[in-house]
Parts: sequence; C-alpha cells; structure tokens
Amino acid sequence: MRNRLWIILCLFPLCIYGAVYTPQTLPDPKEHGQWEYVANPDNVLSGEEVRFLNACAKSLQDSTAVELCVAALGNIGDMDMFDFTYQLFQTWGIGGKGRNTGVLVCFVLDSHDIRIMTGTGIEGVLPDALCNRIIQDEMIPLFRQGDYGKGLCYGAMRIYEECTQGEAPEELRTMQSVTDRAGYRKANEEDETGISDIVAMVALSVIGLALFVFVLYWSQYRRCPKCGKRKSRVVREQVVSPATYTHFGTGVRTYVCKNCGHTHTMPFVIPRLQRTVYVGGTNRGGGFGGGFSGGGSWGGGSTSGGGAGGKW
Amino acid sequence: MKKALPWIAVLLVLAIVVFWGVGRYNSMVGAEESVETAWSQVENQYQRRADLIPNLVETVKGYASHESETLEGVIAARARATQMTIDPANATPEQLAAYQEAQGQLSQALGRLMAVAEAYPDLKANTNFRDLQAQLEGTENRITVARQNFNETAKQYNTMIRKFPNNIIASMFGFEKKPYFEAEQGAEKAPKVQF
Repeated sequence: MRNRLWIILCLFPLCIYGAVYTPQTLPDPKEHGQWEYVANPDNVLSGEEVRFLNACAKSLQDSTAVELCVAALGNIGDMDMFDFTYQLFQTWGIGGKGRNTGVLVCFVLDSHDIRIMTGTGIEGVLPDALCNRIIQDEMIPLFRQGDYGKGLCYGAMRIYEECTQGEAPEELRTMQSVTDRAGYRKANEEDETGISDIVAMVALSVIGLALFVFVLYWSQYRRCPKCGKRKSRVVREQVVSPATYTHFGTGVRTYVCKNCGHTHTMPFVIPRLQRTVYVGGTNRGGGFGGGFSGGGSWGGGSTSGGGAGGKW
Repeated sequence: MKKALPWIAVLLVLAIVVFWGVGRYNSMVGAEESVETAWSQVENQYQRRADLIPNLVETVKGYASHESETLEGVIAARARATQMTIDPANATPEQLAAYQEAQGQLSQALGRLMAVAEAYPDLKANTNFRDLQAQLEGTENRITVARQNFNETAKQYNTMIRKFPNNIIASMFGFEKKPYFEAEQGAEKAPKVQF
C-alpha cells in the first residue's frame, strides 16, 4: 500500500505538466484546422487567450502572409531553449515555402524561458533587436506578474503592429518578389539537370528496349541437337492432353534447325487453367475521393536561427 | 549479325556503365555544391558578426573609455578573423581549424567585452547597446545553426563519396573529403547574453 502511495506521489507532478514534449512529439495545432496557430498542450493559456492569439495570427496572415505560431508549454525537460525553438520551427516549417516569413513565439513556464524566432524572410521587418524589445517591453513585465497569457497576447499584438505598420508590408512584399526570383532561378537550374536526366533516361530506356528485343530474338532459338548451333526454332505446337482446372496438360513442339535442317520434337507442359474470380460490383460509384480531413499545414518555411530570447 | 552480337552486348554494357557513372558524377557535383552553399552561409554569418563589432566598440567606448585593453583586443581579433578566408572547394582540415581558431578568439574577446560591460549600469541601460547585444546574440545563434548545417551537409557528401562503388568515381575525378567544424571547447563558447 505504501509503495503504491509513493508511485502515485511520484506521478503527481506529471499530472500537472503532462508529458514532456519534444519538437517532434508536440501536437501540431494545424491538425485541428487551417486557422489554428496556437500549441497549448499544457493549458498554460485560457481558451479566450487562445482565441485571441488565433484571431491575431489569422488577420496577420490575411494581410501580410506572415505566419505567426505561438507555442506555450509547461516544460521541455533538459532540452536547450534555442535548440527546441529552432527544431520546432524547422519541423513544422512555419512561414511560406521560399518566402520564409514565419514567426514562432515559444514560451516555457517551468524554466521561465521566452523566445521569438524569425524566419529568414522576415528578419528585415523583425530584426533581433526588435524581437528583444518586444520580449523586454511587452512580455516580461506581464510574465513577472504571472499574467502569462496576457503577456503573450500583448507580444503577438506588437508583432502584428510591427508587420503591418509603416513600410513593413511593402518590405514584406518586396521580400516576396526577391525570393520568388531566387526561387525561379533555382527552378531553372533544376530544369538544366532535369534535361540531362531526361537524356540519360531516354538513352537508358532505348538500351533497355534494345536489350529486350535482343533477348526476345535470342530466346526463340534452341540449340540444335545435331549441329550444336543455336538455330532451332519452333515450327509446330501440338496439344497431347489439354490442361484443365485440376490438371496440367502436355504437348509436343516440333523444332527445325535453320542451319542444318534437322527436325526434332520436345514435349512441353501446359500450365493448369486458372479460374478468374470476378467480384460483382467492385466499382461502388465514386465515394468521397480521399475525404475531407479538416486539417491544414504550415507553409514549409525555414529559419536561420534569428530572433531573440529572454528569461524572467 | 553472328559476329556483331558479342560486340553489341559489350557496347551495351559499356553504355550502361557510362550512363550510371555520369549519374553518380552529377549527384556528387550536386552534393559538393550544397557543401559550398552551406559554407558560404557560415561565412556570411561570421561576416555579419564582424560587421556588428565597430558599432558595438563605439558604443562601449562612450561609457567605458578606460577599458581600452579589452576594446583593442576585440578590434585586433576582428582584424585577424576577417583577414582569414578559405576556399571551401579545397580546404584542408588544418585550414578549417585555423579559421575556426581565429573566429574562436574573436568570440573570446567579445565575451570579455560583454563581461566588462556588466560593470557599467549606464551602458547596460543604453538602448543602442541593448539592441547591439540582442543582434550579437542572434548572430551567434545563426553561426551555430550555419555551422551545424555545414557539418551535416559535409557529412552527407563525405558519406556519399566514400561509399562503394561511388568511391571509384570520386577518386577518378578528384572528389575529396570535406573537413568538419570541431565541437567547441568550453573556453571558445560564444558569450551567452543573459538579462
């Protein structure tokens, strides 16, 4: 009884914080829908705060195509805060692919860690120094009072303002076109290698076809028992006993050698007949074509590790 | 036809070998290219750090002008580190180690500067200094990421050229093993900027 009590006591802290998540095991909010931006597995945030953050992130995405993700966790075990945030960013791929305008705000209650990580395309609008100011000015004063959700909401508001005010939207647009051009160049390079690949593939398939024809041609001749040349060819096939569904059949093939004109016969086996099974009405008329999962995904962006972090 | 058949067979085999070799060669060129891209990212981030330093030194000078020894140490280390450039295509492990050492010395000098700055509350409260500090920390993180990325890419490439039968083609066309960044010594650790 005492042992059991100990086990329960040891497990109790786990009940408070739940499991310790890694960047790979943390549930992705996008699985619940395209307009979910907040990972809140340990219920650090209230429902109202999550709704606010989602609304803020959605309007940010609608107006500037910046993807904002907020992850609020109880603890991350022994993992380094920077490594955790970086791996989470890369695993989920926050921000559009090629444009890389993603922002990840990662909050860990247990170790009092906060970090804003910026995608490579948004570093101009949200430089490290600005991220640091957002953390120091907006978030940490509220975190110190225990208002974690409020601090994150104010931080998200500030990120929204920085991305939508002044010249930031214009800069994000030009960033988009710059990366588009870079993407275009990359696609062209891929095309070049693609052509050589196609040439190699065509050449290989021509060779393969030639080889196949050659083997086909070669295999119709048998070695002639009289002159030893591989020039004997089937001229007649005669069924001795036909095959049934239960028994194989036999037959005799007559070969004539093209080299010496020698004729010989060889018995051969006819394989047992196979019953083809038709299932009535296999085509059940369409269906939902994969179904609707209701989930979404991040844009596939990446980061070079920019941003800022702080403790309180 | 009778005499040509073996020759056709030999030619076919040769053609297949040549096409396979071309494919292998091309993918090795691609892998080497991505190692070089990863290297240029590392260099970019180190350059970015070097670009931050003059501004940082100026700011610190305004508040702590008599810490000239530390400041000069940073300037000298920066000069040494920026002088050193290596060609990623045929860098030896020794060259990379020397490069890493020069950059490591700059990290140490910066670490000392940050430690000195702790003693000046006015400097620590300066907005410009705080911004530079944040940018420096971000850049150190980017350097770490770029170095990890370089090591991973180099490892993929090295594994590729050492595997049989790729190694035959690699030695024929002079693909050489790329060096790695060594794990940082405790003393070389980038300055951790904490608030």
